[in-house]
Amino acid sequence: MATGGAEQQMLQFVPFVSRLDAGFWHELSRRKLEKYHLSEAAQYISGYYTNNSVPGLPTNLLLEYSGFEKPPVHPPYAFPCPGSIIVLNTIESFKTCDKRKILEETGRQIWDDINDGSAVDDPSLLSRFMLLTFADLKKYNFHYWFVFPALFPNDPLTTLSIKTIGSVWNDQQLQSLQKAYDSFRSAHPGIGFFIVVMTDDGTAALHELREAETCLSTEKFMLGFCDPSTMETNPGWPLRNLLILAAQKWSDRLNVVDVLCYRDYTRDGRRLVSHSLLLEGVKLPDKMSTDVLPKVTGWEKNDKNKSVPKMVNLSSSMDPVRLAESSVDLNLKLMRWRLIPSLDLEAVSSTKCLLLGAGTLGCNVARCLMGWGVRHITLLDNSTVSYSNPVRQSLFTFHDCSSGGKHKAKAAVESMRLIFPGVKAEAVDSSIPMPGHSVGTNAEAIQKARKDVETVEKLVQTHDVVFLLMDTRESRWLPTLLTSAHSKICINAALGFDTYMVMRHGFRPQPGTETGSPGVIVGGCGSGIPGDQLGCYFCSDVVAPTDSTRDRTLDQQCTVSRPGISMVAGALATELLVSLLQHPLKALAPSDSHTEDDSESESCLGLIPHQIRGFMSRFQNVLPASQAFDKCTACSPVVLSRYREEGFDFLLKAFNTPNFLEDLTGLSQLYAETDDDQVWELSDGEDDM
Amino acid sequence: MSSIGDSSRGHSQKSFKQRRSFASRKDEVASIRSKFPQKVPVIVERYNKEKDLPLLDKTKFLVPEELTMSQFVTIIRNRMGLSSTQAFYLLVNNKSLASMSMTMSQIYDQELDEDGFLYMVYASHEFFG
Repeated sequence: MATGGAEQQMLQFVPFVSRLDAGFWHELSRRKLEKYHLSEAAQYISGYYTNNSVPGLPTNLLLEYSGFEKPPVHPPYAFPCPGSIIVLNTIESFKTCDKRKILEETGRQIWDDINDGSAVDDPSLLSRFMLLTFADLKKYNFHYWFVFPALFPNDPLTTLSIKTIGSVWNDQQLQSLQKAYDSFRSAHPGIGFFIVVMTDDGTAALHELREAETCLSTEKFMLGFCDPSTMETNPGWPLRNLLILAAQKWSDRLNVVDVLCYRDYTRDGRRLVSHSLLLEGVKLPDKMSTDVLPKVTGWEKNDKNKSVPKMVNLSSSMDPVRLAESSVDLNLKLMRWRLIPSLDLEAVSSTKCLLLGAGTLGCNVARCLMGWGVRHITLLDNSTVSYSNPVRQSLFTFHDCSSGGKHKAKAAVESMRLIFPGVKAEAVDSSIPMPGHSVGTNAEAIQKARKDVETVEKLVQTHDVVFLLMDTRESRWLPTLLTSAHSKICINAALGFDTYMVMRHGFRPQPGTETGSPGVIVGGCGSGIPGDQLGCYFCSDVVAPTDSTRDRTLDQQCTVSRPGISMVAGALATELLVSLLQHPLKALAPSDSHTEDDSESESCLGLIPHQIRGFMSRFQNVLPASQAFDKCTACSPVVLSRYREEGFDFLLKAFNTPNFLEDLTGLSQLYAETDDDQVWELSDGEDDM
Repeated sequence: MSSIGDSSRGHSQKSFKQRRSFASRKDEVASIRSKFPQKVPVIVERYNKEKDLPLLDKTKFLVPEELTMSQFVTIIRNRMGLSSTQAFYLLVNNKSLASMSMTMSQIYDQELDEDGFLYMVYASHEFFG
């Protein structure tokens, strides 16, 4: 800053920093696709700046969605800048096009507007800009580069001093200035360049630039502009071309001029203008020949002060599908902020889930899995949506029922994609062969059964987790066997009228695999049973699955249960899996039914039971655990080894031959050797025999 | 947890525990155990909302210690006359499922009630989806 007042100091100007909101790029994409097509012609746009920023903020030139409108729609207090945009068709042309030519063409427009007087009438032309872009609309990459042309005088621009007006003027003068500015603004909204006349009695008046001729004789003549800069010693970019205009238009009568850099902000109800700058004794350059374009500068620099194009990738905010995906993930990631920093979301979202059954449980489990960010979900079902379904089966609507009903798995997957297009859901329309539902000996029927088995086998092999959500006991047999044989996590959920059962089947490692789990714990009744010794759905009874639909009335065949049961059980099934995936031992995690919080076998989400059995009549859950049954018809070693040896032939016997599984597992022998008389009945109150 | 079982005959909804005082149950167990030290006193009741499974004629059983759970389940099934299409389970002590290979004495040691009886409730195995 000048001391003593005699020396001139260089004026340095704060360049604009472009700020483009996502809405601008949305609108540009739309116009490129629907209007411009391949045209690379310059198109009108309008940006704006303000002079009301808090000190310390960058000197922004903003472009918004509304910038394409003509006339532009900008916020109040905005100073519009006319601009143009060129949308190039290839990244190559963006890189190689003649930057100097673009700069000079835009600079020439400003130069001509100054010399022919247009900029005196409409000073916003001094802030003309140009935006060069290439929009990669496949990837939503936007390459762009702004030009804010400034014309160079022959000599550098200098001033005698730079002070805040608060340090020069008294309160009365400041208030008078405010008042004068307010009346100028209401008469000329959006005009950011003016002439200030301050009389000796401290009264200020503002005039349009075109009134300059009449004001020049006034002693207290000042140039004024609304200054987007917030720097204490530097005015903003718009002043450069204003000084060139003054030189070209009035230098015959004006060599030195004071400049008001008007800044005006209101915070906490208090309006401040005293931080505006007063440049005293700015030396105007000599008038230049209008025939020759002066040197021009103005390509925007990046934050490292390099003149290079900018690039923004807006895929997360432009493509609604991507937007949905990132929002879903963000929401889950918030869990990690404070609640569970160790939560492994990747372990959940990357899990491939196979849902067998797309009824009430299938729909609810699918929805809950999507809530956890699981992407890969396959649904298998062989029935169609009927009119009674949508109210309970949360992925269906009335429209899925018409004309015979859509296939359930397909309708469910369509619905999941509507809910969340990022889901990788697949539908399989297939049935699951079942013990007791004889395939028969017809070659065609056997071929169909073989194909169905192959379908399920392949699905089990290509997924990480299989959910059993079907509506009979016997349909759960084949997938129970297959998940055991292929060492997959199996989550089983089943409903009664007002009860439900959710369990993880014991994990059966491949033969010869060292699990590291302790030896057999005899007598485990709840907690502490290693994951590979836990029972399956069929381990809790001594009968093989068989055709349960025979002799059953309609109410015994359809899912007749309290409607909320499915939602509770579906949610529990999903949450049980998620907790399991968080445990370091995963599927080998021991059962845990402790009600205390300090259990050692917990995951970061809490304990991992073997089973959850719910009794809605009392709103109670119990968490029993039981060991695998060595005579189990679905997961016992003899069943698994026979399946491994004989494959489909073995399964066919199980489907077709009554008592085959009981004979194989030793259950028949158990029945034969068990003598009912071993257990004595006592009458109530009878205590002696 | 309160019992979810009952042994309702007709309209009586009262469970064994509700019908008999703690003292009388405790005395009864003491008497049984002294006479039959090798047998386990078990109360088997039906889940109070169960509709498909029949009621057992009796609720109180004396079971040999060495009997396995799988044998016991077989016998209970026979007593109820269940067909092979009906699967059920026994909830032990209102919270546990006994592994099929466990013996009655092992289960008794872990799950006996404070009155000395071993309580079990039977219910249909859920299968709807």
